[in-house]
Amino acid sequence: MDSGGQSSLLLQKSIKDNTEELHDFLADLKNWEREMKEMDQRLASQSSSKDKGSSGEGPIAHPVRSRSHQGPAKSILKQTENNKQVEDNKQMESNKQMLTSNNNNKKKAKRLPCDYAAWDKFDVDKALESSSSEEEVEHKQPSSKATPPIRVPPANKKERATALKEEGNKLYSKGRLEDAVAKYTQGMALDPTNPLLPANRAMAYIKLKKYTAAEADCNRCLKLDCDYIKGYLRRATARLNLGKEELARRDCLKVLEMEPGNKEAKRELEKLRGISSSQEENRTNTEEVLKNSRLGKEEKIVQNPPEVVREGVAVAIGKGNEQSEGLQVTSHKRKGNGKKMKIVEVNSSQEDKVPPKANQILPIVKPPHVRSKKPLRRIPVKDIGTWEDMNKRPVVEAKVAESSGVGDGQQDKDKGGKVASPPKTSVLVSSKPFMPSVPKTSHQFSQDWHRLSNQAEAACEYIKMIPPAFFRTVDLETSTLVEVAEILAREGVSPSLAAEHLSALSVSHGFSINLMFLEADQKQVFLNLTSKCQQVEGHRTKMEELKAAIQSS
Amino acid sequence: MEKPQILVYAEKSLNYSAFDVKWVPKSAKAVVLGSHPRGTGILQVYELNDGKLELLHDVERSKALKCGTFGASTLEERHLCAGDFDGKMEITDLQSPSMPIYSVKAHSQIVNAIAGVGGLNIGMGAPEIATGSRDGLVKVWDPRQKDRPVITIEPREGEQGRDCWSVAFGDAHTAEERTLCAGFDNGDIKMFDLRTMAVRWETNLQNGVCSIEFDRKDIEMNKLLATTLESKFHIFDLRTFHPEKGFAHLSDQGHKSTVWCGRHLPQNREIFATTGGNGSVMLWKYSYPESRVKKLSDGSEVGVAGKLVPLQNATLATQPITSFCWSPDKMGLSVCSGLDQAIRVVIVTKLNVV
Repeated sequence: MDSGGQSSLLLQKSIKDNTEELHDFLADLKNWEREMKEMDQRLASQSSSKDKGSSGEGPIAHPVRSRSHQGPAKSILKQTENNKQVEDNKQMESNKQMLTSNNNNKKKAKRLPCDYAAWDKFDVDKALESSSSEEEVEHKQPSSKATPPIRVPPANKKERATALKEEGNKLYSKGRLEDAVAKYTQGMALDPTNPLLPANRAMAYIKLKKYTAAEADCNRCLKLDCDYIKGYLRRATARLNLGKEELARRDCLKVLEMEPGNKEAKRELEKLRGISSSQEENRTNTEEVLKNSRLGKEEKIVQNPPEVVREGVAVAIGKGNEQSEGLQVTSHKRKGNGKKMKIVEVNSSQEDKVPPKANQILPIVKPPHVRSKKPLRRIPVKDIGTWEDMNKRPVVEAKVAESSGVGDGQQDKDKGGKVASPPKTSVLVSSKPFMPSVPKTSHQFSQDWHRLSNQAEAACEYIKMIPPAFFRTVDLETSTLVEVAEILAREGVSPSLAAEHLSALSVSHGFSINLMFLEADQKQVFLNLTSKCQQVEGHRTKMEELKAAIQSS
Repeated sequence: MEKPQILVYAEKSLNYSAFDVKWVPKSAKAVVLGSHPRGTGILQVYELNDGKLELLHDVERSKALKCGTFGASTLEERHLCAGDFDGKMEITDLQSPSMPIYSVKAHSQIVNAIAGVGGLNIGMGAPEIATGSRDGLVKVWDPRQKDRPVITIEPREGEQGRDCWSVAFGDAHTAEERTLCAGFDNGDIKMFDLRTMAVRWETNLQNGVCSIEFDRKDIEMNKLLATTLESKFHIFDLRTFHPEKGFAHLSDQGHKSTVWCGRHLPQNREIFATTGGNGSVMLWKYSYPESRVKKLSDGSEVGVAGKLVPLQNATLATQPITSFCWSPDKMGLSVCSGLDQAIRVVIVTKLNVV
């Protein structure tokens, strides 16, 4: 009782408190309303006076987002996939900013060499020094945040790649080779078809003394544009430094072939000659080679030791080759044939010396008009031990092909059971029937089935291979379905297997619809099948249902 | 007994469906947006006067108005930005509301949600308006730029756009930082970082997200409240992001029906109100754990969710309460609109002592 009275007192107190609280709140609210109205008025007058004074001048402290981005609105969700690109863009942006500031800083812009030849005269070290000092200045004064970054988004990737190339070139001309390489790499990612980007990167790599990378880039460039002279020249430089004199020389020769007066190539060749003369005693008369190459001969000839071309063949071979060979050749020479003939003879004599191995199959080269017009024939491949085995045992292939028409099983067995099943009365050269693998898809099954459909035995075997569960997933045409049913109804297939297959088929896609399109004789096939399957315990009810369904349709 | 009370202070029956109601900042006025039975839009301004709501303006628009915000306007101007059933977005000066001062066809379908930032001396940076629409797009607009959005957020290629039901700005504590959250009808929440232009985080709440709100939009993001269908709502502690576990997360149930709306008290960010499909308003208080971060064994940090206490529950109507707005100027004063064609000024007492 006592506690109850206390709680009721508490309740009363709280109700009183609440009403007081509410009262206070409401009174406060009235005051607030009055205050708010005054403030509202003041604000309204402020805004109207502002409107009259300077309309639309508002707080321009923060620029409109798209103004700073200068481009179409961005789709973030799409961009998440190529975030990298965004970052690239950002980087590009900042770099561009840096560039612009650089350009502004450097009012007295240096004349930089603009063609390849001038690069050799250009003092990279000096440029590097000056540019690095500029960089330091930049680092001290980081680009102010206040100026909005200017970005002109190029329309497509190719343009962007070109822009990156230009940026890279600028960086390169400043001697910031690593940065230039980075730019070119970005550009290459954007436009892998531009040959200039790898070419320029190769040049940067050469300056960085990364010759292997430079060579790879030249290769890439030349793959894209096989007539790009600078590509060959740069590759020559890279290769020269990698110690691949021969390849470098070839590159130079290629250049001279395309542009006979190219000084760079000649200079490189001079260098090469210097190296080779110091390395070897064998004189390589490049001038001669040059002559040859100018005559339009293929590089193959250049590959041969130049002596062969220049001097008498017999002498050269006598010098370079073994004695016996030399003798042979001299004997050929006595026949008094021309130079060219001799070379051919040397080759042929060498070939003659190699006895053709019996089990080595050599390619037959025939001009198209001599080739056989007959269609290609399927030749069964058999495992026939070694060459000795083949000699001992006659090849049975031809006989099999002959006997296939006869269809004599016994004869086949006599041949050591090489051929598994008796040949069919078909035109197939191979006596073994085509047996497809277990199908994985409905389509595969249909295709294989069509190939087997005229061979009931094979079809039986095939259908036994397939697990019944597979048929749940198939979607067959009516004709195929009927054929399958026919095969299942055959004696070769056990009733239990047929029942399992059929029950699986009955749940497959389109089975019930196919049933509806059956003709009378086709229905009969199914009825036969179901009655066969009814023998199997456990499938009886299902088969009866199916039977009813077939009959009703 | 020390519980706050939720009381209806003033009620006004309307002859149209109100979809959204907002206090006009620095005033005792509220603006109501809705739809006439004939499908045209209506914009009304009421003023609280001695416990009564007095009609100040009544304007008709060609299409029903769905949502509105003052978030991107300055305090002097207090321009209302509204989205309509036709996908249009308009900005209206409430001193002369008959004609909008800015109008743009923002979306191909209804604008479900709108949010503003950068105005009202709340938050840093440019004034921006986000609109979320049934067409699956979320767009960000700058009132100073006519005709085209500054950002369009589209579904990924090959993905079907989902109906966007809610948008919210947050993290606007510097001029550059800004985060936009969008909730979709399939329960997706996506958080977009508008500085890096990337999806910062996304999750799925299983149920359509009816409303979404940061506890404050002008601070480093702290908490996010998302209310969903089937009487659930979720609170994410956004201070600590774990690369695998994401944000610490807490979910609770209330109203026994759709939680239409969840709004943080402007004067105390740990208190928020939710409104339900059964016509009730619930008041909740979030209390932080002792430590909001804990270290995992692999050295990474993961957030710890706090606790949620229901403070009060009051049924104000028989129909769902679709929108709720705390007065930014008077603690405990709020206004809500219901599908029973009425708006109510609701006062909540003792908020300063909870």
